[in-house]
This record gives sequence, C-alpha cells and structure tokens, in this order.
Amino acid sequence: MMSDLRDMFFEECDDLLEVLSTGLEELQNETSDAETINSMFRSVHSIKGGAGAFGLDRLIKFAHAFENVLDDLRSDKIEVDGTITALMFSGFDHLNDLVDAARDDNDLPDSDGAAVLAELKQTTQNANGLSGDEEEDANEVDSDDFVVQAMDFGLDLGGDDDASVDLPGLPSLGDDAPEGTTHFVVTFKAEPVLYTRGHDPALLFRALGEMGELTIESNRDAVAPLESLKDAPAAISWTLTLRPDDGIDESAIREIFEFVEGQCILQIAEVAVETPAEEVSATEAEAPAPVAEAAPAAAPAKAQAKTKAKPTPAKAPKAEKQEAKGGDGGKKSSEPRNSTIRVDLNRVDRLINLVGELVISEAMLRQSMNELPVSANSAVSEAIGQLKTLSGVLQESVMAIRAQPVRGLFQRMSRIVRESSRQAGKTSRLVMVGEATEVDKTVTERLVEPLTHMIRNSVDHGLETPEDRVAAGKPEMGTIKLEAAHRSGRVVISLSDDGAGVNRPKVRQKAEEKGLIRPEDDLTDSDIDNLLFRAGFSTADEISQLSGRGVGMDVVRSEIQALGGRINLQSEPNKGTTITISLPLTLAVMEGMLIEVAGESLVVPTVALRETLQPGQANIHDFCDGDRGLSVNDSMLPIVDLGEALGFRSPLPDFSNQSLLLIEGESGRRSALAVDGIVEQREVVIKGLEQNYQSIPGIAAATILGNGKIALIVDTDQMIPSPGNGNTGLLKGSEMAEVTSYV
Amino acid sequence: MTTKILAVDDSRTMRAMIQTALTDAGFDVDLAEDGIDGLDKLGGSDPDLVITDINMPRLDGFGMIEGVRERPECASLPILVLTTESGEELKQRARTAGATGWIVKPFDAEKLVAVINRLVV
Repeated sequence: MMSDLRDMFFEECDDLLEVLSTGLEELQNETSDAETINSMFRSVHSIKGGAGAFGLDRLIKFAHAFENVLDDLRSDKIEVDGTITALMFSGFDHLNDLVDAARDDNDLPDSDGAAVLAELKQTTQNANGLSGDEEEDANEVDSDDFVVQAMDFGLDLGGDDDASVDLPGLPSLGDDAPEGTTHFVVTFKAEPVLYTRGHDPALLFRALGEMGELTIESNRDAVAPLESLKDAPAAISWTLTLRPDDGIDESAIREIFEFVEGQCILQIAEVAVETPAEEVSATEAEAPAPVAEAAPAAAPAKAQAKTKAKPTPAKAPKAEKQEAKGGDGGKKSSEPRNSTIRVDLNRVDRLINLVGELVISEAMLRQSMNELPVSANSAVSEAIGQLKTLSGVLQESVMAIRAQPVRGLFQRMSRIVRESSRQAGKTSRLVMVGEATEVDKTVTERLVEPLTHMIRNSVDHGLETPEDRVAAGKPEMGTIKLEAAHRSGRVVISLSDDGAGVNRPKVRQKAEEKGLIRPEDDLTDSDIDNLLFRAGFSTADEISQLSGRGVGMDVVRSEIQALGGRINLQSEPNKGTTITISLPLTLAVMEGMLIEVAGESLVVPTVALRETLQPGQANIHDFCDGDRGLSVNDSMLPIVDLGEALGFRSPLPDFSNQSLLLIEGESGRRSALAVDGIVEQREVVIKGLEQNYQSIPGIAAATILGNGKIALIVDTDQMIPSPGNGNTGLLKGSEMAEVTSYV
Repeated sequence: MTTKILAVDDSRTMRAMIQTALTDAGFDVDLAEDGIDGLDKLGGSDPDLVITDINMPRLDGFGMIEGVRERPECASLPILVLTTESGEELKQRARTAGATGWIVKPFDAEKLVAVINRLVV
C-alpha cells in the first residue's frame, strides 16, 4: 500500500516538474503571468508536501527553500530578472535530481545542489531583509519542525510550540509528574463564535475524559428562561475536574482546546490534592446529576463523568467499518472524475500483444480462405474483409494508448542544453517545435540517451564560441532547435544548430588517419558528414569534458536503428548542422516485402526498399573475388546475395534468374539484394528475437506469417557496405573496400 | 451511521494518503481536487467534516472555507485545514474564514483520526 502511494507520489512529481518546467519556459520567454508563478509555487509546494509524507528530508529542505523564493516572487518581493530565471532553472534541475535520487533510493553527494540551495536561501534573505543568521535560524527551525512532525503529527498550538508534541493518550516525553498528586481544574465558557466554527463542547470534554478521570459541572445560572431563550449554549459555563492519567500535563490539556483558542474563556489550574482517593470518590458521588443535564443534548452519554479507560478514538469507527463493509463497499470510490485514467503499462502492453496476435490470426484465416475451392461463400470473404478492417482499426487505437507527446522528452533536453553550454563556455538556447507530436512511450524513453548525446555534440562541436560567432556576424547566443513532426507514417525528430557546420576536410583527414577510409576514396559531402556515425570517430582535438564520454555518434546511430529508425546528418558550412531521426510510429507493426531465398521466407522492411528489379545479366558486372555489381543509371551498386550473406547457401554462379531489391540504408548508400522470389507486400507484426531467442547477425526481428510459419526480418543496414572497411557486420573489410571504389 | 469526510487537496498523492488513512479508520471519504470542486461536491457529499488544503489552484483553502460557511446548513460543520504551511498569519486567516482546526502536514494517520474524533460526534 505504502509503496503504491510512493509510486503515485513520484508519478505526480513528474507531472509537477513538468508544470514547473512549462512555467520556467514562460518566465524565460517573458510570457508569464501571475498564475504562472502561482502554479510553479503549488508544484514545488506539493512536492514538498509529498516528500514530507515519505520522510525525504533532503527533498523537503530543498523544496522548502525553492518554494520560499517562489513565494517571494508571487508576493512581488522579488522581480523576475535574468539572475532569478537562471536560479529557477538551476533549482529546477536540482529538484529533478533530488526526485530521481529519492525515487531510486540513491543518495546524492552532499555537495550536489549545495550552491543552489545557498543561493535560494540568500535570495529569500535579501528579499525579506533578514540577516544571514536570522534566516539561518528560521530555516533551521522550520525544517526541523518539519521532520519532527513527520512522526509527531505537528498539532501546532498557537503561541506555544512546545505543546504540540504532547498528544492525548500518549505519554508525554520527559514528563515525570508524580502520580495522582494533582488535579486539573478547567473552567470553560464558549463564545458564540465557537459554535459557528464547527466546535462542540461535548466533544472537547470527551477528549478530555480520555486523559483521566473527569467530572463535569455546568453552571447554567446565566441561561435565560426558556421563553426568552437565545444563544443558550453560549450562556453555559463548565467546570471540569480531571484526575490525569500518567504523563498528562497541562500542555496536553491545552492541546485539546487548541482549536478553540480565542473562541472561549478557558482557565486551567493545577490543584494539589492531599488525599486523592477520598476526594475523587466524593466528587464521583456528586458528579452524575449535573453532568447529565449539563452536556449538550447531542451527546449526553459521551460526556459522562468517570470516563477512564475509554476506547481509543480510532476504535469506534473501526467497529462501524465492519458493519459498513457489507452494504456500501462501492460508495467510497467517489474519486474525482477525470478525463484521463492511469493504467499500468503492463496491461497496455498485454493488450497490444493480444491485438498483434489477433492480426496474425486474421491473416492466417484469410490465407486459409484463399486456399479453399473457389466456391467458398462470398459472404464469408466479405465478413473476413470486415474483420481485417476492424482489426486494423483496433490495432491503431491500441497503439494510440501508448502514444505520448514528446514534450516531456524535449523539456528534459533543455536542461542538457543549459548544462553543456555552461560547461563549454557557450551561450545557447533551445527552441522546441512540435512538442505535441505523439510518439510511442518506449520510443520517447529510449530517445533520451541518444538525444542527450546528440545535444552535447551540437553544443560542444557544432556551436562556435561566442567570440567566433560574433566575428562570423552571427548572434552571440547559439540556437539549438528540436523539432518533431509526423511525416508519411513516421515520426521525424530533428536537431539542428546554427553553428559552423561539419568541418569536412578535418573529418576526412581524421577518417583517413584512423583508417576508416582510404585517401583515394571518392566521397560525397554527405558521405563525409555521415562518417561521424562510424565507430571510433571523434573530431575533437582534445577529448572534451562533454562529448568525450566514450560514446560516439555510432552508438547513437545503433540505438536509433534498434528502434527501427534512421538517422541522417546534413550540414552546411557556417550555417549549421541538422541531424534527422526518422522513426516508425509504432514498434510493433511494420510494412514489409515478403520474399523467398533458398526455400526460406524472409521479410525486407519496406522503409529501406527503393525499387525491385529483374535486371538480366547484361547489367550485372563481375569483378574479382566473385564480387558483382549492378549498373543502374550510370552508377554501380554492389550486389549482395542474401542467401549467401545469411549463410543459407554457397554463392550463386549467376544472378540472371534472381530478383533484385534496391535497398537504401541510413547513410543514403544503396545496394542490391539478390533474392529468389518476391511474394507480396504486407504488414507484419514484429516479434523481437532477442527476448525470445538471441540476436542474429543480419536479422532484425521475426514475424509470424498467415500460415503460422515464422519469417525472419532482414536487417537491411547490415546488408549495405559502407565506405571504407567499416563495420557492416556481415561483409569482410576487403569486400567492402572493393565495393566502395565502384561507387 | 458512518462518518463522512470530504477531503480537498490538489495533490493526488495527498488525496490517496488521506483516503487510505481515513478509510482504514472506518470513515467514509469523498475527495475533491480544489476549492471549487470541493464546494461543488459539498451538497452531494453531505459530509460530517471537511478537510482542506490551503494551496490549491482555482480556489484556495481560505476561499473554500468561506464558501462552506456561507451555506446556512454548513454553519457549524467542522473544517480541518491540513497543510504544510504553519505560519501564524495564515492560521489566523483560516480561523477568521471559519476553520475549525489546523493540522500541519505531513500527518500521522492515527493522530489525524484522533483529531477528527474530537470534532465529530
């Protein structure tokens, strides 16, 4: 239960941080209004409140300091300026870290965020004209209070802070009042206002009765005769005598009357009792009569004298709970009606899997229908057509559940831009376009790392230093733009900077030094740009703090490919660089071309497919080492025999009877895949190999065909030789070097 | 008859915690997200006690309390403020608005129940 609440708290934190982030953007763009600050304040405040419930002390302290500054902002003690906005951003970043650390049960190093915390505190001090010491004390007391209250409830008696620790029925700490030696005599007279604020003297007396043996006397002399009765309750006063249980002291009694302070006349006197036993019994004898009359009619029994050893407050409702359970179990769930619900992701994924199976079954059914004699009922085939449409719509709808806007992802990146700019000594801003574009949740999650790295690269290598920018006639502040859009059934996310562009001579030189290409290789500008994605490539003369983290753009590229995506880089000298990532809308379904090779059914993703050809031997050229090339429109493409590449058979002597599929990889390079036959183009449900079997070179995934058989999905990028003797998993270096030189 | 409590808080974590604590103690709990929602639900819920946060969007706790007290049938309905705030000035504002009591978050479930039992019959 508690862990559910904890999960809920962290989910809520994510939402609250998003609100905060949106507010910060408005601050920065100067589109904020009073409500912006208010909602930011409430977000931090709610995080603090929740953190308190889970005893997350560090989060509490920080949120508290953050909240104070926001409070000063909303009460106009502080003006929004660049410094404050920067502080808010730093505060936001650290708050994020603290939430993440708390979520993962990690401890951040003490030094983390210390500077921000100090700055936040200082800002509040300055705004409120407090000296450092005063504020230090105030803060200290405040946060200590907070922690203590996590355990001690924190009833806060106006004016008497110490009293708040002691509670009815609980032994008060450090109290060693001698037993049975004192009584408390309480005189109480309610002001009319007490009743209009929801109080009831009888309930106060009941609570007092739980602290020991209580006798109650009422004084009704001031009550007017019935015929002229007005404001009757306010006319009665009471004298209550309490023989306290162990550990009950005056502050515990005061606490009962905490909420009615100022709404009644209250006197508490401690009276020494010389012969307690007799005194008490005497009082008892007299007590019952006045009590029955004195207590307000609503609860006569409860205010009765001699109330020692009453059930604890929690028990009475518990008994009622038993009764209630049978009858109105459903009644309690009057949760506010939202237009959204929260669903466990596992449930959605299960649904998606089931729908995937349904699509496969439907395909199997359709295939069986086609194999039936022609006389098959046309009504059945019509129904099956309808089934196909419906399962398609169903699939789309289910996929839409997983879709979420990229806004959250983009907002995370704004922090990366800030941090890496600071570290690199550059000034830059992030512009976001199309944040509402929806993408599969898994995609947004798995894009965090690659995008983070890409942004670091853009800031570190793409943007020039402020001086260079000014010298080049550009604004001092660099612009990083993140853009998302849906384009022809795919999601396209692009990251552009207005920096210097790829330094092609330098890239080429590096690539040659590292043996990635040969000096005589004829590479287009685009080829050179895309060398950046090759393993082990780094253009920085010195490994900088930012990008030199052992992750290259090749890792970014392979992560994007693992998502079924393509990545491409375009650059223009002195104008900037744009990296475009194109991703499938869903990870579960894909358009593919069903082909046959050596008796096996395989699927080639349509995304990579450019053309299908039946070339005839005339266009196929033999080279040494058995390599062959295809001449298309004056250029030569390497031919890859798919059957051989996947180890299904030995090389074919000639390709005259083969169909060729022209495929294009992420880099824009092409090759021709030789296959035995093309069956049809169709939608396939992707089944991961890695979780069911293991990863196979040259194969991206698998699918189940209509006839129930498994078909492997070809990883086309591994079938395209790259320039130089690069890293295509299947082809040997020498082959690729040969091939490159034809292009 | 089960005691009915209307709890108003803009944090869904806090709502869930209040609901858990009070439901476990045998109370019937209705929830609202802010002052306006709370006032909307007041009539239908007909609670024996209201618990409200202070910092909420749309209508804050003070406004909520004033709204409750404006209704003649709620003139003596106990209203507990449950908030992380503990400033004396704010407490006084709540008192003036008509709050019955003030409890500082984070709350201990048992003790919250003890206070509620002090305020409802």
